[in-house]
Amino acid sequence: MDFDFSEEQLMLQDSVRRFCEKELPKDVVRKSDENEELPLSIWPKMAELGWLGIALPEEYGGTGGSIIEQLIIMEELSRKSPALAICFMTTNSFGARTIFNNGSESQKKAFLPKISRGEVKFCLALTEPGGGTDVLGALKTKAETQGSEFVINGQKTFISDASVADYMILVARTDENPAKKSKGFSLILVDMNRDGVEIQKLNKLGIRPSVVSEIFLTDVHVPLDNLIGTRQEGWRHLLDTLNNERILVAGYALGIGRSAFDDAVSYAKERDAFGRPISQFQAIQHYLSDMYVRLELARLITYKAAWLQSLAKPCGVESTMAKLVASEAGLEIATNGMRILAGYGYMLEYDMQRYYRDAMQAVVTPITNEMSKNYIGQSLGLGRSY
Amino acid sequence: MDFSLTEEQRLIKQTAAKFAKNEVEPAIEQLYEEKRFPYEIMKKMGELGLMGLSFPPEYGGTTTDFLSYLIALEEISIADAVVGNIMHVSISLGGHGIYMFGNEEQKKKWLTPIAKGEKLGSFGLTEPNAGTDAGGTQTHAVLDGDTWVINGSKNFISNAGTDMTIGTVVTAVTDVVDGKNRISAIFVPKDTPGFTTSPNLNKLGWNHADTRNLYLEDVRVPKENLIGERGKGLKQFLTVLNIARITVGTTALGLAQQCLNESLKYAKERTQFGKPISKFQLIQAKLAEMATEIEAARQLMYYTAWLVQNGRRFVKEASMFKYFVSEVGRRAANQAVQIHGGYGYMMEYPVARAFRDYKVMEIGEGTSEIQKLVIARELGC
Repeated sequence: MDFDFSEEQLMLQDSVRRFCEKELPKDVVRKSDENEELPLSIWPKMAELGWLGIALPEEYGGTGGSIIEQLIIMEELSRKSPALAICFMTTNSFGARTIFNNGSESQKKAFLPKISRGEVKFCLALTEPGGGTDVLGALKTKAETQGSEFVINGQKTFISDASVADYMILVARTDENPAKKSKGFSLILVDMNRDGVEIQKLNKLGIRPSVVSEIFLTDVHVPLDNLIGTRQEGWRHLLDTLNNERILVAGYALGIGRSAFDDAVSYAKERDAFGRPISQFQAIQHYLSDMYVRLELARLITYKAAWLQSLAKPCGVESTMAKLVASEAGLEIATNGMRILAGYGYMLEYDMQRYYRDAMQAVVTPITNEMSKNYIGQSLGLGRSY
Repeated sequence: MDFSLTEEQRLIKQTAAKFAKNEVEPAIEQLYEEKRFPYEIMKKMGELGLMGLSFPPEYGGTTTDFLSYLIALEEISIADAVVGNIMHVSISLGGHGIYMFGNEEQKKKWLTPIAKGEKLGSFGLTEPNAGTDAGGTQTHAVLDGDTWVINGSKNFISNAGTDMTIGTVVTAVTDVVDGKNRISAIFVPKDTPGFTTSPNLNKLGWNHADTRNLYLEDVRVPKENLIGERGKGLKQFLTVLNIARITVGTTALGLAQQCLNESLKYAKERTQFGKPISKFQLIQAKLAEMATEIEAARQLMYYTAWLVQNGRRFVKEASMFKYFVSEVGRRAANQAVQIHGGYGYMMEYPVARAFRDYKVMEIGEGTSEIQKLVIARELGC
């Protein structure tokens, strides 16, 4: 066993950390939250540093890193701007990873270098109004073949970064009567500027700069060449990306948890009551210990899942456990942070309330933690309960 | 990063798991009911080399690989956490106290039989007025020529009164400097005149463990029985305790895994409303939570062991692991009984024993409250 990062990984962590300290100071992040706007002015710099193509080989403009490096970036970005971290994920995982795993050579050549250079962003259009947990049961968006084109009709919802993306990876039904529930879906690359694509922003509680939208698709025509991978096999193609997403969402929660913990510690050391800093009271120390324990557990289990995926080993259960543990930890840590900061924590000028709002998102996405437990239960040999 | 076990570690895991399944598991119900110490099991564990894990061969040990010790201890504890605790006390508290601070002769004389599993080690710190605050130790030792004369008493001491016990390392006040007690560690062989023990104490759980109060009345042992430095006994003890926190935690991890295993088995067999209760989401969620917490705790155990083996500071992580995993044990035992329903309340079911046995893991080797204070101190509070 070896729990150390490599020299290169330590350097990466350090440079992301320093970059974020410089480029994402608290006032910038607060303004970003208030205005519901991503701090995208630093996106080109992230591309220059090689982070946007982190897990891609050099021939596609990537940096040749693994899932562990990808997670390091995710965690560090999320400590400062969880919203920017999610944007990193939608492009780096949904876009780059999906195309790299399943795309044709010409698709890879067309899109991956552009992703690495920061020229294009992606979103994943999967969830529909009829369901997210039972997404396959609810998926109605259809892509019909007409000549050399797909004609797409349907509606998607809760799509992160649709408002800033240049392309979506659309999951659409291409076979009305598949032999199995998981068949009959295809992944189709759709330019967000196509006629018939309309997006409508949704207002939400937390992680406000990471805008989620409804997408309406009305007679959208795209070339058949935009199919990614094999027709009807879209769900299978997507599984690796979805595991990757769970690992990165765990990283998202880790970043928030870390910031909430750090803010709580500094506040507790500065705040005096009954003649001494409140950090010296056992009741406060117990909160802080609990927060740190949860954080460390979440980190270990998340990096274990990333390690498995980096070696292309099965990681479905581990990435689900990581997301479950880390998201609950993030929420618990932020909640305890709110208790420690008390009245100040409830004020919008302090960041604790933002961590608290942002942490909740990981509890219910990409799947709810109830669904996570169903999946873990199934993996214990208990049968499918849903 | 690398989360995998070595070939040797996998082999030790297999050996321990097989022994636990074949030799420990079937024997426990009766031992528990009759409150009998598991002599046969402990002897066989010694023969297999399990009692010499984390000690070098020159002192009768099997391997110095600390992780191998934890892996084996977890497997034994999955069959029975109380046997796991007898192992943990002998190796971590008894053995390591001598291994870390004893001189060559002491190691040859006392550690070797412990590591070979011919004898069991024990450690006496707790007193009627000194538990969490070990500074309150009242047992004292004075030098009379070349002989320590020890007087005092100890409480709740594991492994101290068995037929296999070699003796107990006791802490005693040997000096007073600037009004403060200085404590030293002294080895007292079993059957030294004046050294007596209470009968095995009646406990909520841990029926087949040996737990006694010790009485020392003008006990005379040679000067050479001082372990480590005079006056440094408390500091030495804290070092040993950091190791013991990890290993007592490992027994709690085994207990939690046992609760999960038993609950999985039961839930798949038990039918209600026309299907196995394992098909119900509320039961699955309990099991998924147990499995997830156990996996997280195990990663923390591995990480802490890795810190130990690489000579890094591990005080915070040892406390974090012990605190967290003992709570995982509590939740697992509680939910396991709940899943078993009325059967879980019957003593013939292992989960009923686990429900009794887990509690002391939140207390021994430092209460959860103390662990949290240690963690906070390490965090700079």
